[in-house]
Amino acid sequence: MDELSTVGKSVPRVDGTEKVTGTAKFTNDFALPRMLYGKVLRSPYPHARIGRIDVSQASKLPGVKAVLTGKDNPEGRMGVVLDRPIVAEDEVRFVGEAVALVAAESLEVAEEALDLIDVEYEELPAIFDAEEAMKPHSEVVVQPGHHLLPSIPAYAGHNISFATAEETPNVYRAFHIEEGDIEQGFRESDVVLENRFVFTRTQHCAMEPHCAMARPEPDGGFTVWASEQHPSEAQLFLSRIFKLPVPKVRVIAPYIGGAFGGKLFVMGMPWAMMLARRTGRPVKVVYSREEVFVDGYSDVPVVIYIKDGVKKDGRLWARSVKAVINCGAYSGRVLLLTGSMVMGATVNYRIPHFWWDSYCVATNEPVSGSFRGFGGVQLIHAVESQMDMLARAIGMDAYKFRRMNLYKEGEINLLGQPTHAVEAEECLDKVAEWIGWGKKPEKREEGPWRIGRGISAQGKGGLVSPYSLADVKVHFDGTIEIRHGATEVGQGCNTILSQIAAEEFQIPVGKVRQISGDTAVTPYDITSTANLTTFNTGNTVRRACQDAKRQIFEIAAERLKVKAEDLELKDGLIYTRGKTEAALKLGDIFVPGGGGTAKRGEIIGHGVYMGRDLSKEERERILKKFGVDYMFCHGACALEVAVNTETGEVKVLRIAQCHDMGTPINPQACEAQIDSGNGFGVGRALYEEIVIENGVTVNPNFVDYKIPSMLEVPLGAEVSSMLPAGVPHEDGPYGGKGFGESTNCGISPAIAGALYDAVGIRMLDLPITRERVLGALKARAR
Amino acid sequence: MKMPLQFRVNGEDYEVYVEPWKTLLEVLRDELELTGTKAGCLAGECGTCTVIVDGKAVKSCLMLAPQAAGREIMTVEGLAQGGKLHPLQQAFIDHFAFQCGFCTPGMLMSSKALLDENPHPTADDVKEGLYGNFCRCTGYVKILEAVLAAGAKPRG
Amino acid sequence: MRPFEYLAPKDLDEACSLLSKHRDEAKILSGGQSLVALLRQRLVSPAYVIDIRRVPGLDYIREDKDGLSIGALTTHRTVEISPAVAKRFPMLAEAEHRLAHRQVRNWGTIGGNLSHADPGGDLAPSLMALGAEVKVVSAKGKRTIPVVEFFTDYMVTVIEPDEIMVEVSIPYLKAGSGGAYHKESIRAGDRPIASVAAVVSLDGKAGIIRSARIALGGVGLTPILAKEAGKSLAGKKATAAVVLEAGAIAAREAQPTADVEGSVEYKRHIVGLLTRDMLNLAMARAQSK
Ligand SMILES: Cc1cc2nc3c(=O)[nH]c(=O)nc-3n(C[C@H](O)[C@@H](O)[C@@H](O)COP(=O)(O)OP(=O)(O)OC[C@H]3O[C@@H](n4cnc5c(N)ncnc54)[C@H](O)[C@@H]3O)c2cc1C
Ligand code: FES
Ligand code: FES
Repeated sequence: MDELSTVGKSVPRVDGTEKVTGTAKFTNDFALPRMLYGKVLRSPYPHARIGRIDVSQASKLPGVKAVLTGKDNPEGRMGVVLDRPIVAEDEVRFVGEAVALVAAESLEVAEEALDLIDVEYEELPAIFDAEEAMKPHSEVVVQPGHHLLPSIPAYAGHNISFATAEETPNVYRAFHIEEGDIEQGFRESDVVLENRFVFTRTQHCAMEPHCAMARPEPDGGFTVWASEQHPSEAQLFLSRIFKLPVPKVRVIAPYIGGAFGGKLFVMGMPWAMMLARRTGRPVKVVYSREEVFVDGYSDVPVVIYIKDGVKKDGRLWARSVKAVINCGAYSGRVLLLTGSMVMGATVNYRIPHFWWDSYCVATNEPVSGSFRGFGGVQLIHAVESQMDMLARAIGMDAYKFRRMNLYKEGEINLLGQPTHAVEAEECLDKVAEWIGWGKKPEKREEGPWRIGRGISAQGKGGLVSPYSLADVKVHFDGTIEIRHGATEVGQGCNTILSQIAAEEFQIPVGKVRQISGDTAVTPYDITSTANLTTFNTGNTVRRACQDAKRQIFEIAAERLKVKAEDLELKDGLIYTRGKTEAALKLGDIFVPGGGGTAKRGEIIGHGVYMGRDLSKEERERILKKFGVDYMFCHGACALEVAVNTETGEVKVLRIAQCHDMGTPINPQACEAQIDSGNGFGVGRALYEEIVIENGVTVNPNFVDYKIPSMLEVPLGAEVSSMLPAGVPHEDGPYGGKGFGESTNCGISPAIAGALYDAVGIRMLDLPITRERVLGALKARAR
Repeated sequence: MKMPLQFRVNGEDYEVYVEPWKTLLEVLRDELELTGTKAGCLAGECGTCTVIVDGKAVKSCLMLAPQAAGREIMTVEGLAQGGKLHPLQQAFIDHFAFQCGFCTPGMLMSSKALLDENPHPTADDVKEGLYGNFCRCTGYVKILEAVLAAGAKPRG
Repeated sequence: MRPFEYLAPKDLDEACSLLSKHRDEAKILSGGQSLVALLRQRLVSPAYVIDIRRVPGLDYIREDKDGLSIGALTTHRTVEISPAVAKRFPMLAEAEHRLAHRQVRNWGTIGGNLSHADPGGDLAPSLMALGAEVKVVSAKGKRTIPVVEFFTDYMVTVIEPDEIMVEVSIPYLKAGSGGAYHKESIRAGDRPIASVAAVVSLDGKAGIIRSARIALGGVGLTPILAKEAGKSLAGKKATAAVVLEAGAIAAREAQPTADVEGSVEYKRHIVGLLTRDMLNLAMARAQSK
């Protein structure tokens, strides 16, 4: 295969027609006969003991079919450490925690019934600030005995300890990594710079609210439809807690209306199942937008302390970071984030002396979760802001300073893993050139507006899957059916995977069909998260295709009396190598009129991917420090802002981003991913923040929580989403690797840098609201 | 408590019996099973429920169903004609103007209403017509491109 | 939503008699852009919803002899693009332009907007500054209320439960007068951090401000007529200092509370800036007339 026919081309998305005609089905688009509506009563207190719950009035309301409380919980809890009860039992630990469930004939009746449930609470002291909560002997303990709880089996083997010392009971995980000698590093540095960065909570705001629908099956099992990024894991979890054989819980994830890390917590599913189990009828639970804000596993609030040392000649010499992460009342996936966050400081720049401490701390705030970037937004903002300030301190250009410290191909990064397929320098060069770095902007001011430019670089890791499966079934008419457990959350995985299969079989993309995210038919896959679908599922699908082809060639070889290795497949025709005339049609190897072949039945290729092919020593070396294998992606952002010196308003005028992604499998889809980061990044930098007062979410709606509309982001010629030349990743499918998650991480620091350039103020915390900007301007004037 | 409701949806006449406190969105999705129109917030804030009523883009989550009586409604399901995609739909595909696709039906209806009023809009016109539709996936870049491309085509 | 009985009167008389019958138990529905959201959150739960949307004769923009009359059922979008409004009161078209977004403007009405009485509403400040009046009717008769007297408390107006707003009438500006409105908001179409409407009447030759009316939105329990700020300008020469001073006074007259749009201090700051800018723009318009 010399020239690739499909891979590397911007073929239209395979879900296009469905999505533009309204026929694409999301969970809430399904309804079932006799379906009931489930609703959740949520706690008004951040921390309280639950006394008596009187459900008699609610149960009597006509149309109400079930009212359940924590007493009806299945055995088992949610989380990476199993710490969150499905419905609160003796205590509530955050405002918004589920206290009771109702199923009713209509939504109106279900809502009315919630009002009629009478719960006695005895308020307990609560704690909201993570730095307070992590102090030794904290008076408020969010969940005593937390360190004794088990973790879910999938994570039990990880070499991460989830419990810390007895005297800091709210610290659920402490993570440490180091390199060199940090004190010596600072001693040897010419300039040392230390800052504290504060990040508030933000929401994913996927346009589709979370939804789950459960149908009891005659065999005692359940079918559950859900907006869930990880159907395979959900199936294992639900079958375990409901004590059912695994196949009796069938989880189906239809199209997902955006996820960004916010849809992998079996949300709503156990509730729908509890209610379906009790009533014997299908139950649908749809989150209101307010519920998404309150209990949608929002991004973590973090405080980052960072101290850097640099040599006069521009070499980064030492960096120490302490991150205090507020995981809210339960640990969720933040336990994992506490470790993964380190990537934002370890995979981009060469630093001889490094020290990292991060803490996952429980409070009585709503539960935090994973979010596009998995801690990268916060950490990269801090790191890149520091890079600007360091460059300034030694009188070096911010772009040159970054560039000289970037890792090059083959260098071992601070995680002990090799830098590979890196195009960080090229990315930085491209965005710098586009924005006109080093040249003066045409205008520096207009009325009260001042213009400035900023730049950033960023690196992020994508998990190399420990285990990913896919099957490929070959039909006699030449249709290729991929069965994979990844979910189409919008990232375009179905298109990318179709391209890979089409390439393998040398057919048009239109001849590939997908069955995805249905545990009854699709094999296990680790989540569609962490940049990993293209890489892992892509590899898996490719292997499954090769396995199917091998089977086809073996059958054909026997028939044709040639060697299987000498056969080729193209457009549903089997050729002997070198011949221009086809030897067989694909259909010929099937029993006429039947769905399979004579001796082997159906042609189904299996693909398994268990990580990269590494020798034992290599693997040990790579995993020694961090425990998990990663691929790395790098990128850069440059932009121009205008700031109004009277009001503090900031507008992003122009923005360029460039990210390495190995061989782009679908260049336009890749560009689209970069565009996507712009919107996210601008929102996070300038507007977005969940305001919580005494545990209560003050702004759980799109009016008060401000995601950007078309009028708040640069568009058209003011945007450039660029790809570098494309150095293939040696382990990726056709050289591809994932990158979507890093495209929203570099924007806020570039904006902060541009603000400094424009008006000489340095905004450390996010979001950079107009009021904070004005405050800083006034402080500077004083 | 149910009352009769007659209206036209995508060129077809309907008569349904609905409770008056249902919104047009609920009637479209639950009674007519036209689930293309989405429910992202139910408070008029996100635009995913946008449909066209008597030629104007409105948020169907904020319109009580009885107000739709006798009116002409168009939803995303009515855009393609005779198996042929509407130029806007084609442009959305050609320009990668969606990812998850959840905002797309509403985005298309706002765009359709805009082009019907102003067949060759400028970028500013498009932004004015669409800023009531949120998209969390695309950063809007390719949506703007797609609508401009559809608007650049000669029409007739 | 809680169940209610839906009534659709065919004319104004029927609407009035239904309202006088059900009074507090009823809610008028026009465009529903505010009411339906309240119903959904069960913040209001009327027994009757009286839909006046199809009541004839309330959807118009009329250039009368002394002023512009707008029917209560006229949509925001109609006002926004009306040539008559653009000619007579560009500030009103400006107010509409950033009121929510296209879809809400297509279906929401000005009668509903004023009756809803959100202190951050975009129409009230301009109407106050322009000296507009609203007409309301009931089974008992009609009355006319100046917009400055219309709002009494947070989301409360002088309208009685049996009354329906039918018209807003705005007197034409005299020669040498001009007006301007701007809402400063975090995103386009958001609730205001603060909004300011200013109407200025100049004494042509002397460059003296004959009178000025300034009204503020989003910085109190109701929209506010900044009387002192207006008064401070009367009879003065229109200098930068005078205008700035008026801004400072308006900022003091504002009574904002802190919320996600901004702190009390910031909102006052914005009132000051906007007052300055709107006065300058209004004066420029006054001169160009
Ligand atoms: C997402 C969103 C954003 C918004 N942003 C803005 C904004 O930026 N600026 C702004 O000003 N507004 C904004 N609004 C509010 C909007 O303008 C509504 O206030 C307005 O359109 C209400 O008109 P309506 O016809 O829909 O009234 P309805 O919702 O039908 O009624 C509103 C209230 O007024 C009463 N009422 C209605 N008509 C009459 C009448 N003729 N006589 C007496 N009482 C009556 C009703 O009983 C009800 O209490 C926004 C709304 C939404 C949903
Ligand atoms: S669902 Fe109607 S605007 Fe969000
Ligand atoms: S494509 Fe996902 S919200 Fe727009």
